[in-house]
Amino acid sequence: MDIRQQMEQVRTRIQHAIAHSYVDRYIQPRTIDEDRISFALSMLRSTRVETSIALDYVFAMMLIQLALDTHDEVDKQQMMQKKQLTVLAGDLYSGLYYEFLAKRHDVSLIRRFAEAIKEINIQKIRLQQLSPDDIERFHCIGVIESALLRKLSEHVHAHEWGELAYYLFSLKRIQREEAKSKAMVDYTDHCKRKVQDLFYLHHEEVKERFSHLLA
Amino acid sequence: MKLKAMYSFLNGDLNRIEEQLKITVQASDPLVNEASLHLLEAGGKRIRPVFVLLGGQFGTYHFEQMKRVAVALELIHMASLVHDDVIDGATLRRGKETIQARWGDRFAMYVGDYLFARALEQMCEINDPIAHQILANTIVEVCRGEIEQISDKYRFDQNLRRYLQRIKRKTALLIAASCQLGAVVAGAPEAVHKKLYWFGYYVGMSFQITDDILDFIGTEKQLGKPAGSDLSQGNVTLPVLYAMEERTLKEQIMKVNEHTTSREMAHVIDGIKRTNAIEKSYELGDRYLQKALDMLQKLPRNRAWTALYNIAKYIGKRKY
Repeated sequence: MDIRQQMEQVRTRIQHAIAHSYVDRYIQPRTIDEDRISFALSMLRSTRVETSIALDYVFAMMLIQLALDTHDEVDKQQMMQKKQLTVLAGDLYSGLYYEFLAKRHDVSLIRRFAEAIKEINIQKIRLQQLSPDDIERFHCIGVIESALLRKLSEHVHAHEWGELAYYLFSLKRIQREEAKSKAMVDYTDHCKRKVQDLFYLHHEEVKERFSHLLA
Repeated sequence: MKLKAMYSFLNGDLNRIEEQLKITVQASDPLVNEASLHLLEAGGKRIRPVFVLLGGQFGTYHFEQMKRVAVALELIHMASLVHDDVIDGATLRRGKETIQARWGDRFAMYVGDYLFARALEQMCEINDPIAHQILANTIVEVCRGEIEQISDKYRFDQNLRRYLQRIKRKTALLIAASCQLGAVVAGAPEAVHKKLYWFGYYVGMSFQITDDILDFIGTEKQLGKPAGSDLSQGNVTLPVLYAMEERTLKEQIMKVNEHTTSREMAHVIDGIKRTNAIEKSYELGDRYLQKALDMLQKLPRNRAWTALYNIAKYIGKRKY
């Protein structure tokens, strides 16, 4: 199975797992971040993890990512019912990740991902308190965007991928922001340099997929 | 007898669990700490930890392990309360300002997720895959139950079965899991932990039915909210289902919606109280309670057994 087929399989599994006839009627279809799937699969392909296990790991990680992303949407909902279901959909996806890994008896990965969820939410709260020009924001963003991938990299002893995830996904997020301060521009350059330095360690498919971020 | 007196032999362990809760919610960010401690200080009965510890007495009771499970369950409960307050737009809980009222929806979502993660970290100190499967399955079912509750709002065509399924997911499963998990982690035989599950399940059903009755017959002071609030919010509970057996009242009830005035509501509530709906609801609650007591008869007697018996009886008789 090539990486495209693997990505498709993970995406289909997620869509199947989160499908809910009532919730789907009221909340927007969730966006599944294919860059994360692709990055995680490339990382796992670089290790000795079996394909079926790799697919399970990425599936579980993406359920959490969806849960967290869904909860980010709560305060944007104007309609009460939409807001309520956005809260509960996120809770449900978190529960599904735990249920899935519990069935696999993978307590160690449950713990690693729980640590990531903890770190991400602390940094999200921290980020809310910082002024737009505070440079600590960049660290918050780095953790928010990469903690799950970093924990997964630790789980499969591919630590160097965690650092790449930190800069790569920071870069992706910062580039999405419309207004860019001087500090943001400087930090973007810093991330690009770090990514360039770290790219040599990694698979061609990662370079190919993310090279546009360096342009 | 007061509830706490029924399990006073657990006081030392419960105090240590309270300490562990405080330690566990500590975060590197001062605001997260403030919010978490704000929640802990609001108190609560800590009934889930109590059930875990009592369940554990049916096996080999190692406090360190019991503590992890008890803390995990309480944190999951707390996380769900924080998110529930966002769902309900509640400003007060146990007389204290809610997290979302003080810090906003987004902050409340993050604190809830943070507490959930902390709960799983605690639970991961337990290596028993069965324990994780029980808890994970319970969490998923509780979420599905909450979604059902929203989808069933103002749906007056639902039947008794649907109501029972909803309260099972909403309340009974977490109590059942608390009783069972204590025993599972203490290595009690399957025959024992499954009976504890059913005991907790029946107690939970009885508890929720009583709650739904009290919503009609309690005073605003006892309930901390106006009587009949469940129906005002579109929640079709057991007394409503029974009251709808009377055709004229059914027509009035079916007109209830988000815009129903408090005067119109008071009229409907009076109508419900004049039927035998409350009595019939009590009868069903009692039947569940009896099932819980019957299940208890099949378990070995110890001091935890006596405590569970007294708690079940207390829940059956509670007035608020």
